[in-house]
Amino acid sequence: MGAIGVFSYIAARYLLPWLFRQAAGDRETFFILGIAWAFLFIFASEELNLSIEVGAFLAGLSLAQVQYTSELTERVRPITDLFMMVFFSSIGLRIAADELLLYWQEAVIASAVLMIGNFAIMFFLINYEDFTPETSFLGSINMVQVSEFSLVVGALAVSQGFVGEPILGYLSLMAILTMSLSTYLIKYNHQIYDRTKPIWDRFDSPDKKDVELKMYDNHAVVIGLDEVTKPVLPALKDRVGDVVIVDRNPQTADEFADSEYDVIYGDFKHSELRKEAGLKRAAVVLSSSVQSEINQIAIREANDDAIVIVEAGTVDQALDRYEEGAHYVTIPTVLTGLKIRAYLEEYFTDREGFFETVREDVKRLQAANESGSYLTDGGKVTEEVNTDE
Amino acid sequence: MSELIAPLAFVFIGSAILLLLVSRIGLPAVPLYIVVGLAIGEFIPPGLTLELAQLGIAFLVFVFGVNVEPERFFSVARDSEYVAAAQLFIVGGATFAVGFLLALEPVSAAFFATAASLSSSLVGRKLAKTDIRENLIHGRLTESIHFVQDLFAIGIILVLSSAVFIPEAATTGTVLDGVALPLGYGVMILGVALAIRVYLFDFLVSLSGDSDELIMLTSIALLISFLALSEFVGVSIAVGAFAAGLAITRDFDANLSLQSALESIETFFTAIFFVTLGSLVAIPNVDVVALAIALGVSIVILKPVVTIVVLIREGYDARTACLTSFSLDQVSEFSLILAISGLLAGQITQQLFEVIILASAVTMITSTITYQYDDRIYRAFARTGVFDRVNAPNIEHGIETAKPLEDHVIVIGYGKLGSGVTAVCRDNETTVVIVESDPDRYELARDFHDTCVFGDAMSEQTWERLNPSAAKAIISTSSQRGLSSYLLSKETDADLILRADRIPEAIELHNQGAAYVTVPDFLASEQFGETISRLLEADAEPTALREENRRLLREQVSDARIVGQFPVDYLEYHR
Repeated sequence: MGAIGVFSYIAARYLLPWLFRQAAGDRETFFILGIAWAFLFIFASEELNLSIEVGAFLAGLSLAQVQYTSELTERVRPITDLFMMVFFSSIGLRIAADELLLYWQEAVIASAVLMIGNFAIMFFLINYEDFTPETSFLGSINMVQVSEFSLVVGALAVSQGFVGEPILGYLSLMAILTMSLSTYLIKYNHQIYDRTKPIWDRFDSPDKKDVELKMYDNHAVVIGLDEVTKPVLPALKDRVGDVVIVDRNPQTADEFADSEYDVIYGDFKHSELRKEAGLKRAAVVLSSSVQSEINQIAIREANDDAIVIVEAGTVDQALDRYEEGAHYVTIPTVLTGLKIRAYLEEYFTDREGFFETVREDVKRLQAANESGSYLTDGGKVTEEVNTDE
Repeated sequence: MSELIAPLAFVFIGSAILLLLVSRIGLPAVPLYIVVGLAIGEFIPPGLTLELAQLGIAFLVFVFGVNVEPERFFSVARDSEYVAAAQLFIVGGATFAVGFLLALEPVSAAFFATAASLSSSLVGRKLAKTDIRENLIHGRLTESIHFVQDLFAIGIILVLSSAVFIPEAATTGTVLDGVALPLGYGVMILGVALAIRVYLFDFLVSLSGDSDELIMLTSIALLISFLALSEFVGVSIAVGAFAAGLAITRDFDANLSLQSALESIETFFTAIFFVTLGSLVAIPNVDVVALAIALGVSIVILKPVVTIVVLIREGYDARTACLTSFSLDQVSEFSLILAISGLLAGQITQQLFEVIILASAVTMITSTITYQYDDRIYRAFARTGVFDRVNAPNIEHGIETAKPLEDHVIVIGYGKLGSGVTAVCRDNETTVVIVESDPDRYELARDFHDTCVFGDAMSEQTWERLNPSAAKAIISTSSQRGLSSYLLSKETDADLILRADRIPEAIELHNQGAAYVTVPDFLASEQFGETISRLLEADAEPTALREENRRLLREQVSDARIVGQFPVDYLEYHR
């Protein structure tokens, strides 16, 4: 197992970043590579007669070191959900009703001890680290349930013959009890805190304070970068502050790795990525995707005060987006059309003048090309539907 | 569970390695999976693989079902249904006859014919990805023909699998009973699915609240229920899976998360299904190879020919017809699903099964090749003059002007840019000839201008009609690289204004002699930047900004002289 761990560590440092960079351009390869990596470890653990659970964990640990992790997590999540359902149902199926209830008194007592004990220990620990009583309280009350891993361990123990089915039933009953109770404790945690505030205030002292995690607020979220939106990044940074770019194109992530802009590699369709980008707290949302679904989400989830700017492929789409609440909908072809009209007018009236203008334009193109401020190839990965010429 | 680990590990590790190796070439994944399967067949125990393949079928068909929107069927299908139907009957009929001549049983010959006539949307869509994205006409045709064919495939599966599950009916002579009963059940299941779609699904979604996980599990639960139902009444699980997909509408707020969840599930099971499929093939003997060649020939040669003829008769130009046909020349994944169900039910022999798998792996790969060289193949055929003989009977190819074209501007493409360019030229009293190969846009152009030519700008037939040697300017509004190179290769004194989507390409084209190359995003970015700065600095209420911008959009569209975008009053304005 140690050898697998060492391999996992070395791979995470040297092999995986390279592998995923190769695969990041293709959604299918990217996903299959992630799954294959997990199976490599599972298979190796099984062949060596080791625990496949730990093998899988080590595989995940090495994947977590790669910059594309959040996208991979989101891509794999449906599969996880699917198998989680199968796994927990199968535990349920293995336990007969009488086995589940065989140790019910013990389970109730143990659940009570666990919930109270867990709360007390967590509260003590967090409080000891000088957080405010509110944080200590909320942090601890959110943790008063049995972990699903206890069921994993329980199921493993039964299959190895260490314990009998009734013990798994006892663990499951505890899980059911504590998980359902804690659902309500978490749902009403703020209310419970307010009601019982006097008790916790005793732990307060002047040097207690919460460490602020970096959280985006009043920032700009940019969904996908293309040659239209890229040049406005400096203006956004200037006037809004933090700029977070969500892009499916791995080149974007590489290009902005050391810049003043934060890049989240991944698909805006995943709600977790939208949370990570703080979409709901953004002051400006700028989407360079012409996909209606993406833009509708951006419009719907953005704060009411936020300015939402999206792209559209056709006038119909643009009018729909305005209807849904976008503040500015751009159709690049229309903007281009305006420019081309001016050029053509000149071409017909003053041909020499046209060639002069065009020469200037080509110079600007060349400058843009050399400075590399424009994407060069495979740019718009975000865009799947382009309803244009 | 533990007996699954080794096969799954082989499936995914093998696939990942091969996908990484060929990621630069851009081969579609499906044939690669089959190749992986052929290679690792030894390591996968056969009983287990069939179980896996069944699961794969269920999920693949389910995901397809979710993406089917019956409401949109008629707008998507239109011409494609004829093409798909013609392909099915002509290619299918011919291959059925060939199969019969090669001494196949009628049922086997039917499987053989289905394999030849249906095309793979998983492969075709991946190949034509850029064409679909750029909304080129052959891309759109490819997509919709695939879609219609997939629906046919579901119907065929329903019918053939009905015969699959009641084999004794065929022997006792009551074939009709044997087919009719499951067929009725199949239709009933689809009916139940539609009822759920219309009346129940929204309620289920509202029960799930905002939880992505619950919505996905609800969908999976629907799938499992329908699978159970179809097993219970004895129809193919593919039908149950399709019905389950149909029960799910895509029209609700959280549908994006469901879509991306299904995408992951689809990718996962696509790999499992096609690798297992490949692993079921042993080293082929001479008979298998001979039959596979016969099947392959009808797919690679007969099918494109039929498609081209039918499309040209439908009024498309030769190039569009050729390019479309080159993304349809492979075996469909549904034929594979059908083959494996046939094998499981003992309806086709292991030999025929291997023939179909082998032919599909090969044609999926050859299809990639024909697609990559589609333009060259088309040109080679065009030079032989073969297309001159199959002309569309029912479409005019353009109206000639009374006097010969001279000092005119040739505008290629009548999209947003093309329509604007045309209007500006006409404002300046210049004769314009529009070339368009999309029938809809051609109609639109015809509404406003007399001199339009229907056809592909890269076909010699079209080119000759434009009198390019006397033209003042040629303005292309298409960013297809092939077209730009073609125009640059023409001998003409006309000023050439091209379009490119990338700056390096634009500079290259300019250096090769284009008078100017428009890069839409580059030209748009300046204006866009100004607007954004204005927006960010404005003190106005967001709602006021919104109204202002909406009004500006109308002005800009008419300033750019773009037509066909706003409703009728705008059209009148431009007339």
